[in-house]
Amino acid sequence: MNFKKACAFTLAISLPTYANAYDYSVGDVEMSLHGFGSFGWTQTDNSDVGFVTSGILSPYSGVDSSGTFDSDTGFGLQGRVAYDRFSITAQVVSRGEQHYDPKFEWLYGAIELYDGLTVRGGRLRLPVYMLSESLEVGYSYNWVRPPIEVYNQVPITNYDGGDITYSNSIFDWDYSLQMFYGQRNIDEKNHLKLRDILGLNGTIGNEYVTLRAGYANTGMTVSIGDPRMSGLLSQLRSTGFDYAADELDANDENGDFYEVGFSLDYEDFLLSGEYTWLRVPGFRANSEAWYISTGYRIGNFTPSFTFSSFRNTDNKHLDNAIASVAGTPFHAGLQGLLPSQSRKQESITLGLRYDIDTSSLTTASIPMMAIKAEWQYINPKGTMGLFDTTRSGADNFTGSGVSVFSVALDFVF
Amino acid sequence: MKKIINQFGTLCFISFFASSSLAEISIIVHPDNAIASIDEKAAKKIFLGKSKKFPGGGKAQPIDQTGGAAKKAFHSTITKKNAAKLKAYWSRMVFTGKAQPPKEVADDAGVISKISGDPQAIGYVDSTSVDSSVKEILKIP
Repeated sequence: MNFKKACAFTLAISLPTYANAYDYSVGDVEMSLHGFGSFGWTQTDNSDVGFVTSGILSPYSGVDSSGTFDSDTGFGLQGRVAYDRFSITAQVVSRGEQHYDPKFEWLYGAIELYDGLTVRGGRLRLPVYMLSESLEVGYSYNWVRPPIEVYNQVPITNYDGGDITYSNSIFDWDYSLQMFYGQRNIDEKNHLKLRDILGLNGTIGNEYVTLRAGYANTGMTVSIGDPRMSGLLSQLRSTGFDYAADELDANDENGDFYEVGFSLDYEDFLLSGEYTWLRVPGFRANSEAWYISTGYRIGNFTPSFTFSSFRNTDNKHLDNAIASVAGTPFHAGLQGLLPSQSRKQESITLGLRYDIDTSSLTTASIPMMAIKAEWQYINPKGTMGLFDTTRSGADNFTGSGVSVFSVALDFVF
Repeated sequence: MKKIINQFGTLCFISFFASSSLAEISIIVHPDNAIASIDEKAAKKIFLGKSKKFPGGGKAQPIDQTGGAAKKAFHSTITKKNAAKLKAYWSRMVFTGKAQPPKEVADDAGVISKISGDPQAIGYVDSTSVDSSVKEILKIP
């Protein structure tokens, strides 16, 4: 450290720090304001299909070879007011792929009944994955986005309801148990309502390793429904194929989601993985997905490698329906649904993260910034993979490999 | 003006050397706080936002430092997190709604002035900075 730098250092620590600048107290009422964001550019080498980063809720048809800022750019602002054991938290997130329409991801009141036991109610993030509760906070992970093979399976990021969390420690292990209940309307594209979402998860960890397991069950109400699907169902019923219609119909049935995950952070070595299994009713196929990811910190650089896999496991209900209409005009139509319900995808991702040293500006813990560059090679194994296939060129897609290039600047303050 | 700059330079020079020396760290509270001592595990829970109370049951308000040698020494022993891990940890805690980072002050003098005025506060300073306005409850060699 030279003299000039030492002076800058001394000067910097006398500047107002983040914690002082955006955390206020008025009497016993504490207020804080924090934010996060990512500027990301994403591009593929294919223009027949779209690379979709957040599943069926995305209102747009994904990234192609012309590239876009919209896929991995987003911002969030979070405010919290707390008094004694009570607090109110609100987080608004604006995502490029949802036309930057700001949406509440958190909007809840919490009471800490006693040290370690907290009850919350309101709009909450759906805690089905290891990273669910900090999903868009790009700074908090090494990828440009969490592996889509796994994280696209449950495309709903929040619900309205409540949860109870109990946290404590035993020996050197901290553990936490969470139970949640609520519902969610998805009206944007799918006319779907998830009701009686009930889930629980447990996490245990020490300073090096964290293990997590979770389960969620939800009932589904498919209201007006996908018009093509409801038309098909009523046609089947009116011509006596009630069995086929019942097999295909997801209305008033339940779906399940199982997840196990781990992460290891030992000195400069990082290793994490998650396995998920989704069981859905109706014509949609069940699926399983997993990833394993490793990284190594070298100063401010963190190179990482990830392998990720998705596959539709079985489409029992669709198969049953197809078999029951054999030899009828419905047969070909139902078979046409098969490609969308027998998807597979494997990918490897090579990433490099660089943590920008903001200590020359200020020694406060925040703001913090990181730049990432990533190459993902997706092999859909001859299927449609997880690509959007609504484009006119989709028929040309043979299910061969697609490369995705991404760069992003992430920050939190 | 030139004189001020010179004085500032001298100050920098001094603080630079002061902060690079290895020293013992003291965990301190307000003299009226009933707690007599704290173990490393309990201090860790308070400074990582996992507990909001002292082992005896009183409400605890941690005061962290923005940077410097004391911060480095404290966190390497107590929370076992270096600067990068600490940043990543708080970015997760804040946005998952699980905990808020401790208030930060610039230096030992700031910590002492906060703690001497707040019976719920807990902080750490270089042991040579401890004075009679605060109470030491743990010394980290």
